[in-house]
Amino acid sequence: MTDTTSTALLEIDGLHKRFGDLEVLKGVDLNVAEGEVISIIGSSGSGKTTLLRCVNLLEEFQEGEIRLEGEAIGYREVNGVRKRLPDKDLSRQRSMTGMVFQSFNLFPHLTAAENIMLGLRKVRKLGKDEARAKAETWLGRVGLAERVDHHPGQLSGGQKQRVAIARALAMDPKLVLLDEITSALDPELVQEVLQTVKELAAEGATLMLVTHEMAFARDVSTRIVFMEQGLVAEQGPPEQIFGAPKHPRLAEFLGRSRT
Amino acid sequence: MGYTLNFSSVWANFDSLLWGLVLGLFMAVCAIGIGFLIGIFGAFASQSKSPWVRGAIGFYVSILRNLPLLVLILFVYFGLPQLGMTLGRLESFIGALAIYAGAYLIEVLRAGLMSVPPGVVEAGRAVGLTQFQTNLYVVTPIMLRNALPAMSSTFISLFKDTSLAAIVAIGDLTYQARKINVETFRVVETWTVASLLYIATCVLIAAGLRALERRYPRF
Ligand SMILES: Nc1ncnc2c1ncn2[C@@H]1O[C@H](COP(=O)(O)OP(=O)(O)O)[C@@H](O)[C@H]1O
Ligand SMILES: [Mg+2]
Repeated sequence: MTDTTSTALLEIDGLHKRFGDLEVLKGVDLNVAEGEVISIIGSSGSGKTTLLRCVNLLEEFQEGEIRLEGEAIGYREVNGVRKRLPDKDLSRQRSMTGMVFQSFNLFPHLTAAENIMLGLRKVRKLGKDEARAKAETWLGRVGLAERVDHHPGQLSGGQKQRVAIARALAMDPKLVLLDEITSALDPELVQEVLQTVKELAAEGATLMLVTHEMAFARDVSTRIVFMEQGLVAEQGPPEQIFGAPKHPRLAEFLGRSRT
Repeated sequence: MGYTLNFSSVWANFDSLLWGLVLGLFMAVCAIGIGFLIGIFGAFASQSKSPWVRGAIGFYVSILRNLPLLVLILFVYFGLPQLGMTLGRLESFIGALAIYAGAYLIEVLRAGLMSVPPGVVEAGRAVGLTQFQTNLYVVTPIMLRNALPAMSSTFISLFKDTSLAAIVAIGDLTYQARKINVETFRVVETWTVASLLYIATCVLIAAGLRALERRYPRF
């Protein structure tokens, strides 16, 4: 394996995921160290979304192990039998990772600030004022200080996605998962969101993102992971992946995305 | 036509009509309150993984939706005492209306539940909310808002259904009107006033609920 970091924040070992008979992840191995920015690229259907969803425990998986700070997440062994953890443990483990979705998924009945406050209050158990202050700070950081009390219905797509980013980051997650977060946006709104992600990366957040924005991936990532048919087919620093791809399917994929 | 309208005997008894109306509203509020709890519980239970739970909910809903309300009221009123359960007439009527309301509200709230975008639910889970917290803080408010128009018409139907209470001699508006009718023979006047009271009340309830709908836009 290419990974040489001794203290990986996230360790994925031999991850297999099946939807019924369809095997979507076929033994994924991947380590992520603190502060890394990993861009996952690959053609549609290669399992990128499923991988992120397994890490955030939104999907069950059948084989392999995922560890976050050394703690196995999602499952435990009881007398040699693999068992899904109870909801309470899953929720606690989910709260250690943040997730930003392609379709924003803001809580439509809550204002921008309330979207952020809900997790702070009910999961992190902050008081109302403290949660509010933190929400306002984060909305300021993503450039939405003026939109604190707006409902999602009153925001543009780019603004919604920045609220979603702030919602994930305000929880102080160990790791943030971002799944094609600009794919649902009008082209003119893509840059403001990418700029926000760039700033987070510069501040040292650990990010794992799926993206089709190749220039952005090259610019922001410490490492690129290329997925192909449910496996990590190649990974390495951006210069290497974009400059000298080894896997034939990677070269082909990059050729296609350049057009 | 030799009939001349004379409302004076209706006005003389107007306060008993009003108290009957208040009693009807009280019964509707009680039955809707209980029915609403049944509805919320049943709507979530209908999403259960257990086929037994889903089956039980489906059974409850289909039995009650296919049973005339009047038959249910009479069954509860006359049948339960035979089975050794004695209830006051008011409790018996409210109980019957509540389990009837529950069945309709399960259906209405289940539709509201289906309208909650799955991605929004996942976002709640992703933040670290437990399933219960997600249901409480994310799913329920969206469900209620989206079910509001259908709930409004169910509430109004249930209020109108309180007129069936007269059949078990509860002194609601219909009962009082019938009493005035029998005592004064001012048939047209009595039922005109009673009808107008029902209509005005329903219009007011509908307006209130529509104001609520405008206040909170649909998601
Ligand atoms: N809920 C699901 N049920 C069945 N198949 C699914 C489901 N989600 C994804 N898949 C399948 O898994 C494969 C990988 O999907 P996905 O992880 O979304 O790929 P990517 O994000 O790389 O485009 C696809 O073939 C897709 O059809
Ligand atoms: Mg995807």
